[in-house]
Amino acid sequence: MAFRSLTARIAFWTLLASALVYLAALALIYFGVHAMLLGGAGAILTHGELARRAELLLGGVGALSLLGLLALGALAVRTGRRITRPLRALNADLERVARGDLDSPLTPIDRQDELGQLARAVDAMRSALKAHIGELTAAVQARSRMDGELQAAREIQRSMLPGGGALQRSGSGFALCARLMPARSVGGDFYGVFRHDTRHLCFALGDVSDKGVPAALFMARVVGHLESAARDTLDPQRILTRLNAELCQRNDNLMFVTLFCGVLDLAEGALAYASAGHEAPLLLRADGECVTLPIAGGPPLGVDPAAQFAAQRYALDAGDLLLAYTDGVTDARAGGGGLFGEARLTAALLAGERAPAAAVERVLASLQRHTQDSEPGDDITLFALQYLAMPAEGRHAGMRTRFVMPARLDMLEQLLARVQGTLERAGAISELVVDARLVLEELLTNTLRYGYADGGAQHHIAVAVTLTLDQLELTVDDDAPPFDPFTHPLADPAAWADGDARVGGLGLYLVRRLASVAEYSRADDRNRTRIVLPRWRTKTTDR
Amino acid sequence: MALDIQAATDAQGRCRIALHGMLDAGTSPLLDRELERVLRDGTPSALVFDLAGLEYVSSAGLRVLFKARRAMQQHGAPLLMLSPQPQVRKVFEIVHATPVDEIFASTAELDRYLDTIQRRMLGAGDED
Repeated sequence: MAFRSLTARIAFWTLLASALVYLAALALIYFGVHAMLLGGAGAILTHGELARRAELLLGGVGALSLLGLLALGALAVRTGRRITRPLRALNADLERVARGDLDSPLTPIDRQDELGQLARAVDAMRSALKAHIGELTAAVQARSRMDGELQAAREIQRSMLPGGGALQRSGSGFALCARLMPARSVGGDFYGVFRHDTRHLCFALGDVSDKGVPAALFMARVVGHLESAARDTLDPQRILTRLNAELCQRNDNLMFVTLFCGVLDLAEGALAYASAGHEAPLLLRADGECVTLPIAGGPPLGVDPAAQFAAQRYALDAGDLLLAYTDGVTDARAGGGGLFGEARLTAALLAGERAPAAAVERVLASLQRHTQDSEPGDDITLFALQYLAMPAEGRHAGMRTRFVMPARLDMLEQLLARVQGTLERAGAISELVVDARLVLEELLTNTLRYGYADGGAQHHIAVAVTLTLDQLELTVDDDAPPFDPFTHPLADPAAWADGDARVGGLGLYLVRRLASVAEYSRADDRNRTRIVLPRWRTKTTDR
Repeated sequence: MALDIQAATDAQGRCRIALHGMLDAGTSPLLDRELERVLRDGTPSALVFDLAGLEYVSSAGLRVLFKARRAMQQHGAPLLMLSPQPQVRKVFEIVHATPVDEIFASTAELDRYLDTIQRRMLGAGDED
């Protein structure tokens, strides 16, 4: 019989059994009394006979009650089993689920009552759990794939920055240190440093609106265009205008970037700069004062194709330190909510030596103390550039010196040392000094070795050195037999690379590759060789 | 300025020659003599020029380095340059003196490379 409720089942069977026992007892008593006590038709029973029959009747009623009790007990046991057996099966199934087996379906309980409902509910829970765990696993897999992709994106983004986000570099006339820390895996902050030539240093620092992946994608666009915009100009205003025109194209999301761009003339300390809505950098001057670089300003890049940017200039003194930063620095929050702010930034900058790396470390340490370990809200970028003057003498004015040496090989070293010293004192950068030495050594060794084979004790060679702002001119004047070092076609360096040291022309090859001008003339029975070296060499490999 | 040369051969037969100063027409004969001495004692399994202290090289110096390279090539042993300064590296590049893979920026990088070569050679020997 199908019951919709366990209570109904138990009540039904208990009532049924009780009623049966009751009816049986009632029937027994009724017929028993009739049959036994009243005997046959109106017969009078003796007292003894009556007592015997009453005992028999009581025994029958007792036996029947016992039977009824037994039947009730058996019924209780049966009903109990009907309840506990499926519960036990359910328990075993649940233990299996608890061990993680969600695949095998539960032992079916084909009942309409609470147990049946419970079993179906548990099975529904198992299916739901299985589906949920499946979804969760897929989500975790997707998440870890995404994490992997973000990690790769982070590496790619770092590789777009010189020094991979932690740059330290110094050269003739400058030292710089840059640090970039994205708040998330990838970010929208960036910096760049380029050299057009050995005299000028171009740098930029920027912050793309928004954070995370959208900012990173736009940042890649900015960095990609920045170098080409800066390639052939020393004018920051022009760099910003070009970059803005590029970024305004196909920018439907209206992403934008604030950017500070500067070009430092290392020979004179003149800083040309322009800002597109970016925070004004701080300038820690050699005299100890800390000022904010005056900014005429312009809008961020990427929004208005007709935007105008103002070019500004500032004369740096030797030792001046410029600190450009993104708003992630000043807007960094303490656990309590206070911003780091420009005052703390200035204080950190002033609290120690002016070397760029030390200054950046100081600011970062101060920032760390301020924010403790709270999550960074924005990317953090610091760019510190210190101008270190080249030796002052001869930086602007030209210099001309003439050296005369006896035409003897053993006098060569002395002459080269004198030229080197003169150029160093005149403020030539070390690369130029070494190039000049190399050119003179190659030319003079050739002349001394082959031009005066008989010993040139009576002869003299004159070397004129002329340094101007743009170039170094070296002239060698000798009275050896006519010899034009530049008539032969430029040799193929492969011959030397193969290891054949006997092939000549190695030295003259070097001279011709270093010189922007290499000329020979003969007049008044004298050879005159003129070499021009660019004072500021264009660098193509400086990255 | 003079040239200071320090040559040392290690247990694996690798010779390391550290140069300090200027390698030019005046000083290159010193290196030439030192090389002859090293090669006379038996060709090293590798020759390493440690150029961290070398400030200047001219064609006279390049010739000696080329000569060393040829001598090593004849014995199938590598010649490697360690940490050349920018100025020296520039001259190397102008005359294509040294394949890029023969220049190492750090001792650790160089040692790893030499160990790899050695293992490869030992491995090849085992197969014979």
